[in-house]
Amino acid sequence: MKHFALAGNPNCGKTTLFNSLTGATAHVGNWPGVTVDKKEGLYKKAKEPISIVDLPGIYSLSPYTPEEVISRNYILEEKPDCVINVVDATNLERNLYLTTQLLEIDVPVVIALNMMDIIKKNGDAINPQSLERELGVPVICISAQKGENLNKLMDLAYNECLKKRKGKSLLEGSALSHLVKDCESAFRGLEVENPLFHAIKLVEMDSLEVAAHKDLVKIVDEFKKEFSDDTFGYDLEAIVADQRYKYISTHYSKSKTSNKVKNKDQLTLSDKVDRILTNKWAGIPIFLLILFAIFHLTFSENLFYLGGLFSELSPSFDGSIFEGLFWTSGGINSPGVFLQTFLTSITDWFTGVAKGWLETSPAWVSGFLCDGVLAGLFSVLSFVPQILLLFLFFSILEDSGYMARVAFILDRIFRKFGLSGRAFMPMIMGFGCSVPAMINTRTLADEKERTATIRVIPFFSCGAKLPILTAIAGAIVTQFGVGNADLITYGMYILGMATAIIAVLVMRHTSMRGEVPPFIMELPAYHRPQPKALSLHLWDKLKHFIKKAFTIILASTILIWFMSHFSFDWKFLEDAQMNESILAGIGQLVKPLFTPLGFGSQLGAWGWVFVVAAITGLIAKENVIATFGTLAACIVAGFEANETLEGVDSVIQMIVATGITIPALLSFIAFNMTTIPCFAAVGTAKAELPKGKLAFTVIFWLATSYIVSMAVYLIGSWWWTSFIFLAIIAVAIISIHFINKYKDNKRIVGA
Amino acid sequence: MELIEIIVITISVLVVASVVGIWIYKKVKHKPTGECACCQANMKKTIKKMRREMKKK
Repeated sequence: MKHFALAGNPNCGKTTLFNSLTGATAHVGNWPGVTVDKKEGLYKKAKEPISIVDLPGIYSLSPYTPEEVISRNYILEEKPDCVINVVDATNLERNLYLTTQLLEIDVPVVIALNMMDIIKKNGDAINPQSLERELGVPVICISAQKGENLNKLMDLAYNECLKKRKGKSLLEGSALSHLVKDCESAFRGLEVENPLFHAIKLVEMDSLEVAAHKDLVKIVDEFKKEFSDDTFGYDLEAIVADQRYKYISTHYSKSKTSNKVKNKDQLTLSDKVDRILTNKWAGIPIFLLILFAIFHLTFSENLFYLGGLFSELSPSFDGSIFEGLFWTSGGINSPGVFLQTFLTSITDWFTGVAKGWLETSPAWVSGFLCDGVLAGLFSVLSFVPQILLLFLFFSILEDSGYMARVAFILDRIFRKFGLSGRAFMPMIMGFGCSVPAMINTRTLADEKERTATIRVIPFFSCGAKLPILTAIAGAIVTQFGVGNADLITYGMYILGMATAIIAVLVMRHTSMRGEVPPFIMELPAYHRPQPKALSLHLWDKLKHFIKKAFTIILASTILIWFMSHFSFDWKFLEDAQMNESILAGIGQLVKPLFTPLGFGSQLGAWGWVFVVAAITGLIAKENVIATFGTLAACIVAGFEANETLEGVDSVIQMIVATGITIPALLSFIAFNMTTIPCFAAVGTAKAELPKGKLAFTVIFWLATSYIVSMAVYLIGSWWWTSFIFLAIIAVAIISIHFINKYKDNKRIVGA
Repeated sequence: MELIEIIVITISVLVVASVVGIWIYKKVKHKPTGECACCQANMKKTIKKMRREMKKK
């Protein structure tokens, strides 16, 4: 089997090409740095199967970032049979800088000019034959997004991989060419593979090369004694870079022709849009407005705040399973609520049918399957439409290129708190899932910034937390008649972000002090979100959710039902006796710990329900609502309610029946929003954090969630306690200030 | 005990045992157990390698 590698600049379309060639569903985003690790897939349409590795985007083969080290090591050590250099044709000169370095390696290279459709649309043209002549390697025009010329590219690469290729230097004739030749001969003498590449890197005084071949550095040092450039002096790396760019602009610019006479001062549409969206003053309010609009369209039960304007209109489906599908007396359903109501109607109907089938079976079987397993599963699954809709909106923002702009506009604010705007991208990924978000922090070069970012990622509410938010926001609105579901959900997301900012601020002024690295990110061009990329995002999300529902959540609901229907002496309990169950026993034991948060001892006999849900949520956040769903029907039956509802409605009925207050409910959401996200995220944090930092991180998550939810409960119940919290914060700020001042003075004296 | 009761108990035990069993198997074999297994594959190895290289720098 042959092995090909995809290499290229960030955001040039490597992963799109990788997905098109292999049928994979790797995450694609319109911002640089989506891929941080190499991914492998199989191309089956060639004469033999070809393994394709998608390397992280890089600007050079010098070890400035972890991605560059990963890509360089892969090409040099794993020795792929062919490197497909994906080049963004709209940024030809800049992309060819990496090409000049790839050509120095003894590996077959094929250049894929991607995004040629945009070049054509702009009225420009690139002559691949001319480029091919200049570079000495095959060049082919492709469009990864539209799937144009992909099979031709693979055929070309396959034919090339059968030939041997020697590295070629584009520095011939430059002032350094003799030095390069001397170094190359020295490497040949040592029988080092890829001598030309190593020689040029040694001339550049590349840190990895210098460390690996200390004996050869003297060749460069000797040369430096007799050489000095008028512009760059002894900085050989700058001279090499300058030579590369000179070569590119002299030889390759002529391959590109433009049909349009462009005025340099003329703004493109993208520039005009950026003038508004990245405006110093309007940028952040616009972002918050967009975020609110997304939450409104996903969670609102009163769309555009029109109230019951259309409640009298047909179709109202009164009396049918689809009652309240489009609107209720409260208002018009948002698309998210409409989809959720539709799914809930079907799951409720199915539960009813299942109950009918099991009518003659023993009572515990019917209770276990319908009120336990199905109720638990459906209460989680019913939120799938809203989760998918929310991710559809986020994917649109990401794919259009807007999210990269948000990172840029937030850099100014983030910098004040001790992070660069680059940290925003993993945080935004945290809205989807903490696991890939933590992995994406690899793009952050500073270790302290990385650690701080990993620690605050769980505060950005992931998809699994949405059911908790929606169900409890629903309970507050429908049962207490307070607020709007979308406003509560939006508010909780903002609370999570505010917690993250405060936590970063504290970390960067205490244990993680250090300079904020500069933020340089190439802003991608705006483009219309691609249906294929969007559907891949959604499919990935749906797949994870369904897989989780039928494994861990299903197993959890079974265990929860058994533990709530058996006592410690292994006696079967009726619904009304659930307070004597194993689960209730465990919950009662831990309950006092949660009293300051509002859902502990003050809830009397039923406080354990919230405690148990919060604990099961530590394994996976979907378990919180699954636990409620499994227990709801049984508990409500115990309360002898007049009408027993199904699914999410029964969860809301149970929550209200426990006598919990609104501040305690908000505190419960805040606890689940900010605590340990799930076992998978803890495992990822262990791998991504520097050694020995995990234990503190877990304690940090638990302590933060405890403090935040306690503040929410206390301030919500007794407003005057806000003064106590303000006083504590003031004392903390003053203490940190003086401790830092004392440490700085000590350091200055020591120096 | 009725037939349906035996079936329900057997399936429940199988579901729970398989979920727990697969998790233990993956832990023992050092395979990724998270939901985002594709991202986690070889993660530790890559990071270790990356840190080693960066340290040299």
